[in-house]
This record gives sequence, structure tokens and C-alpha cells, in this order.
Amino acid sequence: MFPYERSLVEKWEDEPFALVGVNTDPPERLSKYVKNGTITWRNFRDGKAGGPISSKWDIVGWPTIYVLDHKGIIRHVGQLKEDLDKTLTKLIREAKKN
Amino acid sequence: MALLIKVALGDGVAEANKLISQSRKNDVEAMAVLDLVVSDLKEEGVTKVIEWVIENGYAQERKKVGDLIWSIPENDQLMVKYVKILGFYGEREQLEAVIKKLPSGNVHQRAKFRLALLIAEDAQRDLTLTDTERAKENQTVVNILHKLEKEDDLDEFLQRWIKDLRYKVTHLVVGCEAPEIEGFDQDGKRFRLSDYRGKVVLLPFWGIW
Repeated sequence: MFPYERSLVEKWEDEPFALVGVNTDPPERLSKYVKNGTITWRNFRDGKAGGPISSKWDIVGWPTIYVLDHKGIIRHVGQLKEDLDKTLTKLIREAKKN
Repeated sequence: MALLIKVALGDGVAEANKLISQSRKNDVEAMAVLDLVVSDLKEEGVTKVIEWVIENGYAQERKKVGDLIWSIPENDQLMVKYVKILGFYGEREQLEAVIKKLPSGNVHQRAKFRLALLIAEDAQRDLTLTDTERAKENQTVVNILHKLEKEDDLDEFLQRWIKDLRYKVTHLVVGCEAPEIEGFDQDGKRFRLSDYRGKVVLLPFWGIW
């Protein structure tokens, strides 16, 4: 599971980039996948679908992704299924210029 | 044997209901069902038939329903469903037609809200828009909501939907500063989304389930 996400984390390890998830699983399940190396990024624990963070962000479909630039501005909203390399590369270049 | 002559009013409704009841097993064309009741719009039971057509039809059926729905007595609940489906399928022109034809009241308000929601969703989905164009669409949404909330007798759903959609188009769309998140990570350590300023952040809302 999640080879694409892990590849992004690895590829841009030394760049101004972070994958930060909002996870809707029960904490024990999340911990299990972190321990076995499936999940290699940091997550907010939201506990369940429709947890407090997801509700505040009005998430109605999972997985939904937001991409923020280095200033914290939302630059893209979409689905995790898409190829994000181009969008992210462009924003990382922007971040490094500043 | 095909029935060639209608012996009494309401046969169309009965025939339509018969077709609908077979629709799980066979392909039943929504237009054929609709055609059966066009001359029986004042008959009892027609609401159920139109409701089925709204839920199961395509663009051409929705268009035809839009022409004849006005002739159905006590059509309030039906209209609510109709504008919901129009919003769902992105039928902007038809929503605007409803808003124009019904200058006030709950259905008018719901149609207005569905239109605002539709514009917001389109702006979010359309990747060809520039940031300026998208911001303009979002402003249109804010303007519609602003006018809508001044109308009389908004029901509780509308009040909540307006509030939620306004929050969304002013805080959660491209160009907005991301709302702060403060919470605990998988190790139980407290942290904030803003701790990552200076970095590009990919923020997926996800779960394994």
C-alpha cells in the first residue's frame, strides 16, 4: 500500500517538502502501519471518517488532497489518485527561490 | 396485447407505475415512462412517477420534466428533489430558470443555493481556470449567498448550508490561506500545520478502513 506516497517522501527528503496526512483510522491501526513501515510520514490523528479535522475542512470524499505552498496558501485541491509530481516540483522550486 | 385506447384518465399513471416496477429487471426508458403521464399530470400518483423519472432520467428527461413539472398540483416536495438533482448533474440553465420562475419561497431559495454550490464545485474542479478566474467564480458564490441569507423564512438546512459553503469558498479553496490544524501525531505528540511554513505541504485526508 501507498508506494507513490512513500516515493514522494523519499524523493524530496532533502527539499522543502513535507507529506502531512490527516488520518481517519483508529489510532491503533495507524500505529500498526507506521510500525511495519507502510506509513513513512507524519499524520494528524482524526480518529474516524468525519472526525473533527475532516469536518472543519469539509471533506466529503476520501482520499481528498490539498497542496499548500511554502506560505501556507492552498494551491491545489484534488484526489490522491492523480500524478502530483509536476505540481509539487513547481511549488518546491518556488519555495527554494524565497 | 397492446392497449390502444385509454378508457379512463389515470391509465397513463397506472401504466407508468407498472413500467417502473419492472425497472430492476429490465431497461426501462425514463422518457417512455414520462410520455405515459404527460396528459395525466393532475392525476393522483403522478408525483411518484415524476420523482422516478427525475432520479433515473438523463438530460433530455430532466429538460422535459422542467417543462411540465409546473402543471403538477402540490409539487413542493417534487420541486425540492428536482432542484437537488439539477444541482447534482450541473444543469445550470435549468436551475436559473427555476429561480426566475419562482421569485420567492423555499424552492426558490434551494435552487439559488444549489446554483451557488454548483458554481463553487465547477470552479474547484476546472483546472484550466487561472487563479484570478477562480477567485472571480468564488466571489460570485459569496455574492449569491449574501443575497440569499437576507431572504425571509430560510429553513434550518439552508441556514446551515449557506454557512458551510461560505466558509468553504472563503477558507478552503485555491488561493486561501490554509486553516490551522492543531492535533496529535501517531506518537501522541502535539503539532500544528503551521509548523510546516517554509515547506510545500502535501496534505491528504486518508484512511485505510
